[in-house]
Amino acid sequence: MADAAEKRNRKEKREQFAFVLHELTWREIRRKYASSHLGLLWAILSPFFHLLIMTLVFSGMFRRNIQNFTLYCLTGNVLWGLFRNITEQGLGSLVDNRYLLIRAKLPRQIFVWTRVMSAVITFLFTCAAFALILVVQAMMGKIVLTWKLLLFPVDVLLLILFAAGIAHGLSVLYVVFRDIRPMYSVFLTLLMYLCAIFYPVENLPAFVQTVIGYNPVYVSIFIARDLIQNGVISPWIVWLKMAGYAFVSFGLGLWVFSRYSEEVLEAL
Amino acid sequence: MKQNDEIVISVQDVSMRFRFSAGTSSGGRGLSVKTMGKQQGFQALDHVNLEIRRGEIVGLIGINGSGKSTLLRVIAGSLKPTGGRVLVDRSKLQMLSIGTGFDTELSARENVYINGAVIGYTRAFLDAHYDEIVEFAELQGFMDQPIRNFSSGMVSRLGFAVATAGNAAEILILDEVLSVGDAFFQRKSLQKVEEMITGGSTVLLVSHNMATVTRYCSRVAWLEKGQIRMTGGAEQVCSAYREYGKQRPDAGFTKRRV
Repeated sequence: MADAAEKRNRKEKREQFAFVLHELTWREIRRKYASSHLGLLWAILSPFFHLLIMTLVFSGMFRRNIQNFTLYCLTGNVLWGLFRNITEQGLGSLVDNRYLLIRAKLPRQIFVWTRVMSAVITFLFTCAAFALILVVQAMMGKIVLTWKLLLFPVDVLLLILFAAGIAHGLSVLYVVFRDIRPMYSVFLTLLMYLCAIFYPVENLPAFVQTVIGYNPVYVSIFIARDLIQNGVISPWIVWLKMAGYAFVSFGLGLWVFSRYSEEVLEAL
Repeated sequence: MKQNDEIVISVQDVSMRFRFSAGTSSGGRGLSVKTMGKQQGFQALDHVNLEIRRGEIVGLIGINGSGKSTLLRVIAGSLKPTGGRVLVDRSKLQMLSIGTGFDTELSARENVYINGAVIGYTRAFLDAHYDEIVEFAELQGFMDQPIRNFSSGMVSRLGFAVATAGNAAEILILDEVLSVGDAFFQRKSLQKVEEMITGGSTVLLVSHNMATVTRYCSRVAWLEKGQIRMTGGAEQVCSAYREYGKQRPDAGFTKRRV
């Protein structure tokens, strides 16, 4: 009997967690487009125009010795955007919700997950636009879409885990060390150039190529380019590297969060 | 009112020392960041003892910064004390404070759901009580507007309506919920709170309004600089508090103004 009650209690808690997560996530998204006339429609329109402009720019203005350079850039940009949004927004998740954290009896992790989820939803909208461009390109005969595309979500999931781990760590660090926000923004600029989004890796000096090879975000972009552009699955060692990055970062992030979030809370 | 001897909130020798001052940053243990602020800590609560029995309505008074909110947070469990302990069944505890998590950019309707979710209401509950909340807040026709267009009174009315929509929990902590809205709404909210606190709940009430405190509370604790300065009957403690207020340097000035 007590067991059943316990089970029901846990189920209620899970449902409430999901409800709060849902409400807070949509708050983040709606807030972004609040009081604009088109409202939520912008969530779909803005990534679409963003990608459209990039397509025009890269197919017309810069041409490199890469087959389908447009797609090369788009793939890199879409994944980079996901990583940047999760970590950059996750960073402030505890500090920005200071008031709620202090007053309400909520699991602290929910605030980080709210930001992760809203970044993921933004990414899904972007993906819809991305898919549209892919289909158009396929109809124009520029690329061949294969079943291997089905592995793209796996790659995305690994990148999300990786980024979520970093977001957990940063959110705690940011509470006690506010300088981390400008520092991280500078770091992101550096990291972006180490993702080879807009240029082929082969043009770089050997040393830089090695460094880039260790960049987890680049690894996920590499896998995605193989799947989408080249229609091949990257060697298993590359996947393994990505999975390793993802799980280590995620585990470490959660550990840091559970270890320090209590202690750090009083600084709020 | 039925009142037995069972102690439902027991604050035992609780101390709370904030290690860093707000705003400046410094590291906690293990995070090797040097302290940047000059103040090395702040004793918000200093060996506080307080026992509240089932069915009691206890008032908590004190000037701003005396530690009232910190004590409430420690009791509610959102803050871990640096010394001592609190014995309370948190599953039966509900803390009402107004407008937790309101987002001024979003509509009143959206805010009811967000705020409600945060307080702990389920979606089904909010669906069922939505009309009631709007009616109580007297905001029919305004619910689709962003609340930045609202006056502060309207916002706090909404906050009050959401916060008090549920059934009163067994242990209620009311954080300054009574000074809300205009005179008419205050009468209505007072009535609502009266229903809640006289329904048999154990209540801890924080208020700056001495008339409210003396009217409802059977016992009052006066917090001053993190310590309990006095506990006792409501009349007794409140009048001592008023005496103390007269001695403050700014007392003469306010008196002349009023």
